[in-house]
Amino acid sequence: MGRRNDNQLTAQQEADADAALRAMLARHKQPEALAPPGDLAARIMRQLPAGTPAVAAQTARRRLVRRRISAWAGILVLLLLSLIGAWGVLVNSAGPALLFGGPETTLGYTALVVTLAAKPLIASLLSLGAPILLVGAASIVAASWLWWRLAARPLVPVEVERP
Amino acid sequence: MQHLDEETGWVRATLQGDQQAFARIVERYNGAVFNLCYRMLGNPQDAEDAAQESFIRAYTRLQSYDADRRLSTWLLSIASNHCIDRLRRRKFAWMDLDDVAFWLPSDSPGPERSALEQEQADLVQQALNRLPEQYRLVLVLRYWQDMSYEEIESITGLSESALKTRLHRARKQLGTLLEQNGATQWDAETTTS
Repeated sequence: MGRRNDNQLTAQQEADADAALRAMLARHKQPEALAPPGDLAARIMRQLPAGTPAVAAQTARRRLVRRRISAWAGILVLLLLSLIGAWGVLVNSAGPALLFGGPETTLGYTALVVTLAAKPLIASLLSLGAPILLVGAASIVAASWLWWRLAARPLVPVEVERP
Repeated sequence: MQHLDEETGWVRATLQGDQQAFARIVERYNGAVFNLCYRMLGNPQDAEDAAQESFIRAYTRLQSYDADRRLSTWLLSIASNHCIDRLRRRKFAWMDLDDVAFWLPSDSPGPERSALEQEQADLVQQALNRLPEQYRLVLVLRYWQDMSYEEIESITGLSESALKTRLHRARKQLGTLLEQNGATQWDAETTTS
């Protein structure tokens, strides 16, 4: 609502600030153009994808789609394994083994062993009680958030810009 | 004008599969792209990698190049985005930019003078490295790439007033950082409105 933007300069102030920075840089022998390595152009050309740009773009798109499908497939497999694990630990210990032909088969036996091994661990976690589990989960979320903020923060505080 | 026609011809030939035409584009602009990457990333090794990656991206996206736009601006826009991506990835790797080793090749005479000039140049680069990437970008485009406001707006997507505001703050922060380093006295009167 008509708030004055203190960062808006007049054309003259803008020109003065521009000239002042150029003068300051000049005192530091800057701006200085750095010569690129002599073989940089040749290296770029060697790494260029084969075929026309259209073919290269198509290949890049396919690679991206494959990568996304692999990532989603990985997430789905993990989710499925977690669900099967939860079923075995919380509902029916022999359940996951039955999916692989029962405890008589190698895979079924392995599933049963893993389920039975996981049971005491899950039981001891659950014995902590809902409040402690909630505090633990909240701590993990808070630590993750803090890590994210620290990693994403600018090196020098940025003032909020008002266009 | 002849310059632009020549480049349009190179782009067209590249799109038809003539990689030698793209080699001419690389030959003409690898210096500008390398310098932008160096100022943004702060060390020559990363700058080389980023310049290579930027040209490869430009090649695969050449179909989307708008011939009404200057080729140099388009290439530097790709390089800018790539450098900002790299800087963001660096933060996740917990890499402190201050710890990066800096060196600049110099063939100026006399080791003492050379060392002094080196130190002065490094001070500016170190100050640049401490700026937020968006501030660093506008300064590099304006003062190292010598671009007009219109060209910087086209690269960054900022409006004129937003660009002026950002440049103003970037100048102030660079001046403050250099002053903190004891390198120079910044004339505050020229930057405060």
